[in-house]
Amino acid sequence: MTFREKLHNNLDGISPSDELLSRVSQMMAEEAEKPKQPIYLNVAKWGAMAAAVCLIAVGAVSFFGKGSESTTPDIAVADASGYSLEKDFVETSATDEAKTEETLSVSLPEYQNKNAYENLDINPVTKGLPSSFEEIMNGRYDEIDSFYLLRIADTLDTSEASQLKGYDPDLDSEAFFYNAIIEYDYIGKAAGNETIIVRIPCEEGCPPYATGDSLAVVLQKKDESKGYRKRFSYVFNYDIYEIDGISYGAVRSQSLNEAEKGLTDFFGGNIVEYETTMPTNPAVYYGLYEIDGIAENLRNLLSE
Amino acid sequence: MTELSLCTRESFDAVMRHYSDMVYRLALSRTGNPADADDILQEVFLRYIKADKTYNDEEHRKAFLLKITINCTKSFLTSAWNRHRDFAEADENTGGYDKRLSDIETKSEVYGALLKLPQKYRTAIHLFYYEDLSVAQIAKATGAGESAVKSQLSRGRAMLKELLEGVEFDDIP
Repeated sequence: MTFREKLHNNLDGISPSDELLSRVSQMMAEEAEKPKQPIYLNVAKWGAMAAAVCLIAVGAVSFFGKGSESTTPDIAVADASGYSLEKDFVETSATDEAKTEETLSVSLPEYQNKNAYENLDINPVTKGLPSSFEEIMNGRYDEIDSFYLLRIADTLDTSEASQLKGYDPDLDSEAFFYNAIIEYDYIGKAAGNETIIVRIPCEEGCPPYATGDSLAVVLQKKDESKGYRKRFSYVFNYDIYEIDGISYGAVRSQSLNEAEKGLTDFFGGNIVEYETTMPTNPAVYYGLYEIDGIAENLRNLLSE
Repeated sequence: MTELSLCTRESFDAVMRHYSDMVYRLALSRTGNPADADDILQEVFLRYIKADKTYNDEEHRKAFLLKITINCTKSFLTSAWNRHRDFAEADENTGGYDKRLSDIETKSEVYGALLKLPQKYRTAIHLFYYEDLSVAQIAKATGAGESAVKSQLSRGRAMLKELLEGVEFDDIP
């Protein structure tokens, strides 16, 4: 008897339990009845608006200047530390080899945020970013609001942005302000329709996004002293791709340092390697992560 | 298999029942743990229903399910939670699944040997000799290159020959 035949003999008798199958059947039935989770913009629907906003974006880039250095990282250093991830990071580094072996190479489909990249000036800001894993996370969990799917509705021009409560011309001139719609809360697993103003700095080039773009982002809790919302950290700011029915978040990588890569891996879980097949897409990513995995890790963290 | 493209509760259920063994056995081969294979089975079919894809034929559906099983186990094995899991504690608290695994290893000599291989070799051997996938199909499902798959099969076979005296392999690519 060959190995193939013996393997079939052995494995054919191994099956999931009836109890498990009944449970899965019930879960599938419940899932089928849920409203569909919105994932992507309809490019055709937003195409016309994007063309108009491109003009605004070009003007904004000219106005704000190009490639200037930020003195205002989006990430503040917190004082109290009830939990340290530095230790975990060091311990998990031993798994890097195994992770590399298990990565899945994929060719990216059409870029979802191509509107932004039509005008993107890739000249990343690299100063002022946190230098350690601890610096990013220590004592800051209570600042996290949730992990959202946002759709950019339009860009605020400089005069509009300057009228926002809490706007600081010295600190905020390197950032873009957008009207954005919260379409889904990945942690709360709930659809949304709230319109917010979100501040997105130019770490990965300016303008970071354009009308119609979708992004998955962890936002800080609302600060009543400000008329806009901020990201928790730009390493939790993902471009979205759908591959085989699964949503992946891609982390822009131009200025990621090692600590931020560690943080991204910690929350993102599996790294998916990719090949860029579109010569016109200048996006450079550190990795692709399953959106559901990121959400689950954040949900677990916040429930601790 | 009859056409199951209609998105009814009955059709989803029929797909799950039809492919549950395939998904479960692959998940078990990759994780080496029946309890983890249980969790992955649930996750795979939740993703299947969320994807709500249209399939050209049953081969297409099967390829999709194999691929998301591989992706789910990857996510599971490299998740922050799994990397920090205390396996000794897990075994103490869940003696039931540990017993299931030892039953499999005891009663199934060949499969028990397969579970002793490094994971990437297990996956290639499982897909080639149990699911009857070609090297090209395995490469597509796992994201590895065809030469890498051939190498995994070759090394996996060499290890199995050491573990299983006298075993013969057919269809060596």
